[in-house]
Amino acid sequence: MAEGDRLLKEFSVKKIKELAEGGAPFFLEHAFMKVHADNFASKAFEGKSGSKYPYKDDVVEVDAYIGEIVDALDKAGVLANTFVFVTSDNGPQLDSSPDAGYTPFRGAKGSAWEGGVRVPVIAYWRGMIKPGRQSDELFDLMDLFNTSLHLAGIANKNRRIVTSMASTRPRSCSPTTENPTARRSSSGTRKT
Amino acid sequence: MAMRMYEYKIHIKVVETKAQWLNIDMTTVSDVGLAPWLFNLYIDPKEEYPRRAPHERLPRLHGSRTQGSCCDVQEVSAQEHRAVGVCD
Repeated sequence: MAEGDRLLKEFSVKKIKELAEGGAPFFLEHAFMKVHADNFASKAFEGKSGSKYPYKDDVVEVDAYIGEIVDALDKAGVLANTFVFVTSDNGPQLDSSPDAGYTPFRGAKGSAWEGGVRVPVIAYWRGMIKPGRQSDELFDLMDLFNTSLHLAGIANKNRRIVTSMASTRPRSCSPTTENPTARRSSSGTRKT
Repeated sequence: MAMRMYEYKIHIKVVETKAQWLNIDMTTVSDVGLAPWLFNLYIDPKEEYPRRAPHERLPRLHGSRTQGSCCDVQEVSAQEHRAVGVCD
């Protein structure tokens, strides 16, 4: 269990290389087991955070793996064409507190209060998103579906009622409209 | 059950925690009959101050666009002006 995320990372790194060689647009979701439950760092990361809590070691481990995945995109030559989106699907699960995440807001996972639904997001897109930019735009994980299709140059022909960043910011997020081959892959990582 | 639009959030069915008990599966909750509860998350991100309408304490949110000046409401602090950003 503790080595699970290492194995998943090795899978994703290998898969990115294969998909990049294929030349077609691809979507990859890398869902971490850690910073969730159970929180036991792998052997290589035990004690790396300097904290007495395994959760903090897991944060260091997940951070390192995201770095390796992004590095794999770079080595495969697709990083400039890849939208990387790191987020969580809910607020912290406090039933394993104090060895858990933390929220400054009211409530936690399992409630409609901000502590349950407001999550951080890091969006990386070389040449498209200015480093350090902050946004408080409203966004839901469901938006990733249509956004990913749009970035891959796939039209929503049936006009299904699904939203995306493309629908709210058509110019800044729709390079495929002008050049279908400009952006061809997207990659998402999240905690489950 | 809640919905969000811009900085406003409305809880349609309000459930309050009676006993936190790990904050998930073991938590006991009770319904609050009076709903909806409305919040402006820009000035109340912790959802501690429900109001009858999102602009209750900040009438300029309506007035600024319909009546021209948002600075008529003297009780609104400068900090809140910056938080909402309508009085630049």
